[in-house]
Amino acid sequence: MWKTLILPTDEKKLARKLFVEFVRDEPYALLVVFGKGEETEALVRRASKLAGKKNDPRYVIWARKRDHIAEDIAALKGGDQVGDTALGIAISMADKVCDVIKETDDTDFSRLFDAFASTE
Amino acid sequence: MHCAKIACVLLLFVGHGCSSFGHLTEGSAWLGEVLGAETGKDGPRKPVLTIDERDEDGGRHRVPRFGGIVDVNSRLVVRIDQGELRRRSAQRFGADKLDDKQIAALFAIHDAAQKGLEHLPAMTRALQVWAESTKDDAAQKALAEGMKPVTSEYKTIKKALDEFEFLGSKAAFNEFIASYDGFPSVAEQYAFYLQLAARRAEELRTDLTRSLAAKGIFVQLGAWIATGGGTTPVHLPGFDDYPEGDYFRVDRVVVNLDEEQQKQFEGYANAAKEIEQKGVEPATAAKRVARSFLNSIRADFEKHLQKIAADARATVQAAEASADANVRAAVATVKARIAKVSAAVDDYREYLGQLEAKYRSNATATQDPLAFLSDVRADFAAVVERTKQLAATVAGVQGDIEQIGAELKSAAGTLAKSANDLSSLAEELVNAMGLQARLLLAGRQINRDVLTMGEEVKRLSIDQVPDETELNLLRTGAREPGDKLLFRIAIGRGDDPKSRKIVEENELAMYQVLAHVTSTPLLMFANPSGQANQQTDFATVPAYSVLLKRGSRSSSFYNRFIDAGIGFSFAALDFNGDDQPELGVAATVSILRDWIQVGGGYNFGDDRGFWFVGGAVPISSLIGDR
Repeated sequence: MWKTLILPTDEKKLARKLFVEFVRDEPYALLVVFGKGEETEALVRRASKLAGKKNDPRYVIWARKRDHIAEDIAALKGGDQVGDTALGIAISMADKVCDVIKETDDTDFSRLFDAFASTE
Repeated sequence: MHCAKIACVLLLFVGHGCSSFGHLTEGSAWLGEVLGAETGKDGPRKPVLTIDERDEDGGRHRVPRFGGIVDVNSRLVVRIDQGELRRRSAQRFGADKLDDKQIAALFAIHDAAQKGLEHLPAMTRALQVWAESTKDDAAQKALAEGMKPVTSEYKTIKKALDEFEFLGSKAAFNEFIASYDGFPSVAEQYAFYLQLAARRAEELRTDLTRSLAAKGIFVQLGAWIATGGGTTPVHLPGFDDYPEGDYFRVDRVVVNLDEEQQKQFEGYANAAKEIEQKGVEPATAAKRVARSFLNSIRADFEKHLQKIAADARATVQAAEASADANVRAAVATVKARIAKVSAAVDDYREYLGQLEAKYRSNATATQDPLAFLSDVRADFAAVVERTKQLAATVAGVQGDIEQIGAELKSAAGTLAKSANDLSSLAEELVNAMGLQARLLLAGRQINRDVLTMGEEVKRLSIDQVPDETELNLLRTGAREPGDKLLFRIAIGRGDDPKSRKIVEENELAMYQVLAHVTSTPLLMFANPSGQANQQTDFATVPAYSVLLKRGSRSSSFYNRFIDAGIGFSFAALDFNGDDQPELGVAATVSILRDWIQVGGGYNFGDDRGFWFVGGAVPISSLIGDR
């Protein structure tokens, strides 16, 4: 998948380390997608298509096991608003949660573009 | 000392000017009214009219919406925001498919999309710079600043669409991204979104315009110029059939004294001579001037009044002779209204009589010139106020009569003319009062209530309104600094004459804003350095100044009252007492419309320096026999 970091599902410690370091060190606007399954994978593919060209400041993180990084997300600015059922979140370069994609939301390109735009 | 008395008089004028201005803030009533109209239920409104000034020196200036000031010789480009005009028309007359909220959303989306597209190239550049950067904090900040003008417009569109999804934008956007071969860049994504929004909004706006045109919605744009000669319409190409006005340019370099100034100069010369010979006793002379002035007012008023009364009588007699019962019935109503005006006129006439008697009987006699002039100023202010009230009464009656019916159009027209005559009279009176009275009046006033769009102003279908027109002030006839312009745009529906509504008005003042040179005579009190052969410390002499000035585009107060200048004064001095004038030239600073001038110079004949204070106020009229 294009410009997508897929977190491991079998090593929580590694998943947390990768997530925290990426959020902290990489200068990207991020769309973090939670969960597994075909629909979620399709969502990730759509998000990655919106990540733009190689040098564009957008990236996607796919956290197939949300609970691995739940603690780290809660520690972000606005992280306490994410909830347990969100399908994804948008994080700005300033490490702030700017948008939460709810399970009732459409997850089409338009919605995901809006999530990225909320960070820009 | 003579000079001390005169300095007191000067200060008195200045003091009155400031206090009088405090009473009359410029256009405060109408300004509040228009400001109120500028906030619609959907929040602050954009202006429909935008005016850009192109001055004689090649400068371009955007004229502010309120309190605009332009140079008296400029060209004005008047632009019409078609979108805002259509929005206001749709909100007033309704649109077939869209409600008020949807109309507001449509125009918000259209404007935001246009702005976003304008900023897109800058955003693309910011992304390119980012790609080549080290991605440090400074680069992040630069990227955010580069993207913000576009993203903020995107958010405006998104907010409007949250309430009103009518563009079909989501589906189109999804289709575009899905069918894109590869990965569209961030800039391409924003570009597509904004283009889509702009295109759809424009389509809907076009539909809306067609719908409004089909309803017969028309637009009129008119302009008037208010000068000392009255308020007259001016030609706006594309919007009316008025002929172009006479060519008139307000000179920017005036070094010669005109006829009036020449007389003033001679007056100063005589006054200087008298002062030197007799000294000054202002109070006695001032009373004589005041009496003469009041007589002049009464004569003017009676002259106008007789003409107004004759016009009204002729109209009523013609109507009474009509065979139409409706006309005769309406005449009775008109007569009652005229009686109301007559009572007001009698009251006014009586007041003038009392005032004149007061001055004739020397009831104001006082040896204190300051106190006396203070009384005079208060009386003059009351005359102005009373005259304005009378004009308002007549205008009000004219409004009543207009409602009586079409049969009495001519009678209403006559009274409207009477109201105008009285308004003009009020202005004439104020002008007749000279420099003091000018301070009482907050610039030239435009009586908007009596202005109507003439038949010459075209009713343009809303889909045929030009984007802009130009008013060349040089083709608006005789005018002078302080005169005003009014632009008015109105909309209406063809099948309902009463539906016409003024959408917006824009009033501008004209001054000599660009650098210009003026000349003015003055009475100079020159103090020579060292021992001169004269009886007093100050020599009183006639002089004239040539001053360089520049007006303000932001302050009418400055233009009307401060009007500072810098230049030279030339005086006929006689420091050595040989009755042979010597040329004195002095560097001069002038303020308060040249009323106060000070400077320092050199007497070439007597080989002696001097400093002076002087002014262009009518001091000479206050100086007379003992």
